[in-house]
Amino acid sequence: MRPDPSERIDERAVLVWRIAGASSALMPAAAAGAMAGLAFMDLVPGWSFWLAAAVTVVVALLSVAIVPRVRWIRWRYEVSEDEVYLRHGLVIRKRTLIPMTRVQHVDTKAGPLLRAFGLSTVTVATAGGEHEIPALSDEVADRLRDRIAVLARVTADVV
Amino acid sequence: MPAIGALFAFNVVREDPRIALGSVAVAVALLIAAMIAVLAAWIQWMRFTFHVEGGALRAEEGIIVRKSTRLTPERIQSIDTKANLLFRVLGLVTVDIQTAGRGKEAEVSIPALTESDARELAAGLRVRHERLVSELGAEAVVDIAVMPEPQAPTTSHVWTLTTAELAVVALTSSGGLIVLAAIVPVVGALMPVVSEELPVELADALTLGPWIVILGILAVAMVGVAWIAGSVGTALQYWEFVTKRTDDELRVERGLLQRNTRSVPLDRVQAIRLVEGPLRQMIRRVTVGVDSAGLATGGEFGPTVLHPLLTAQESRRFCDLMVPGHMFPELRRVPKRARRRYVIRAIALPMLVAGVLAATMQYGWLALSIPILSSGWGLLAFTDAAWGISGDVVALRWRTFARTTALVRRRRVQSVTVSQHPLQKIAGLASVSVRVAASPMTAVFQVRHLDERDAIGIVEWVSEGVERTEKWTSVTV
Repeated sequence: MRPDPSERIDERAVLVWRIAGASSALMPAAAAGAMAGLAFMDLVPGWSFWLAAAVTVVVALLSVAIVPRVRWIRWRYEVSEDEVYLRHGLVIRKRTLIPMTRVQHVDTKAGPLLRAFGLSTVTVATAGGEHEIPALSDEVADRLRDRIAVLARVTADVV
Repeated sequence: MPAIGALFAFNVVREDPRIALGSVAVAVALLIAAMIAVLAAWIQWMRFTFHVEGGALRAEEGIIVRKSTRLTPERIQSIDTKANLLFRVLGLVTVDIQTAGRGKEAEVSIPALTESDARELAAGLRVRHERLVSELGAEAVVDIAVMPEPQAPTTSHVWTLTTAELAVVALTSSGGLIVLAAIVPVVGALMPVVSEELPVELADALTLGPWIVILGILAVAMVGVAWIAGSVGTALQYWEFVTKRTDDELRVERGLLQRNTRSVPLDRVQAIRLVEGPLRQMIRRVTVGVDSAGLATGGEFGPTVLHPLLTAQESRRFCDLMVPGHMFPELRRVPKRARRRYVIRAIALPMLVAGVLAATMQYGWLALSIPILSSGWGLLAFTDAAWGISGDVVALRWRTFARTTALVRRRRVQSVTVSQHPLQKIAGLASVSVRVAASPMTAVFQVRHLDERDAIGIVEWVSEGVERTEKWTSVTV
């Protein structure tokens, strides 16, 4: 059995994902607020507020407290001279192998949230689609990007 | 248009001279518009130039925005020609050159070439092996160098479709079914309207009988029309179907009204697909296609069909001759413990729908036949799921609607993924998916519920095949 990839992504990813998760709990929270108002005016039955509140709590619990940590624990990557090997997945666990010779280009990118934490995502593109390694510290991401670019260039091959 | 406009204007003017001015103005406007269109087309044609220099294609086009393209043969994935009825009468073709890029259209599309010019262009763009060898070193092109270099490419293998085969292809094409699928919802939408319009007194069995018969006949007639229409469409597409292999490329020619040809260099073939639709499977026939990267022309996505009607045995010989290097691995089916997963997967959604129907409608319990049918489908999908590795080739076989077998050479695997959800983990199963470059972007070949060791074995196999050379010593990272 092939050993798991050796590298973990940056632990600050957990915090970033928590913030992102909290924003996804905003929708049900807004709904709960609206329900509270409507229930106060007797326009909807009281239980609809409790339902919306319960949904909010569950979503928040999952997307803020549990999912980010588990996702971070599951994320592993390894870049050797010959291949990129990824392991990730919350419920459905995935292992992906990308031969270095197939890499077409490699990018780093960071949205405002990742930038605020000094993190970047590395995107590895092949002729068969793109693969991402999320939330690496900027230095690690830059180094990894340059390293993959060099390794991929050496083995450059036509599609 | 202007002619009709002028004629119309003339008649009107004769009857009512008062609106003569307006009519003339309209006619003049139409005439000017037509002249501008012709002029624009002419300028566009004037401004489109291309030439082959040093084996590379240079094309300049555009009236206001100039687009200049330089294309080396190494980047070309396939060369297509197409000719509609008008072009065919005039002996002209449009040449589309596809690269692995992800644009919406062909990288370069050259309209209105004479057939001989098009042939000359295609020949000029063929990868020159000596040049490649001198540039990349002999080792790098060993894959294509095993074939003798021709002075003029000679056709070494030709397969055609006989008239009888064409008829079979047309009648068993899923084209008819696709049209049917489009019509059924319309019928379904009409049904309630028709039944609601029935007066209540008529709704007893006696008078309802004829209605049901009429509706039945109507439905059968619609299916028949759809089937014939689909078949005719397919027949027109596959008219005079010819597949040729020269030393270094595949060439497919087909079509009656619109004649298409496609040339795929052999070393650009990403995967072979053997597809058996339900109808074709019943008569034990396989459609053979190849994937090549880059977008196909005319919105024609997916693999290039090399032959639509072969027996299993013929298809092996065919692939041997036409796409050498893809041997057929022995296929191994997925383990027995995967069976119920396939069945559950197939019936989950139909069960839900049938449950709702059964609970809410008078004869809803009839809907319970749907999950029973789809469980058969699940069993079939289980029986068909298989994989195999032999030397340099991996084979994956699965069924969605049609049964597909994909053959991929190791050096064409862009990435391989093994996925496993918790229930699969308990059963020691995993799904494997292999990605290859294809048209329009990516083809993902997936087999579900392999033994997890076999799934990881496929990953290992890809990893073992990664080209390792000594050039690493010069890399410091």
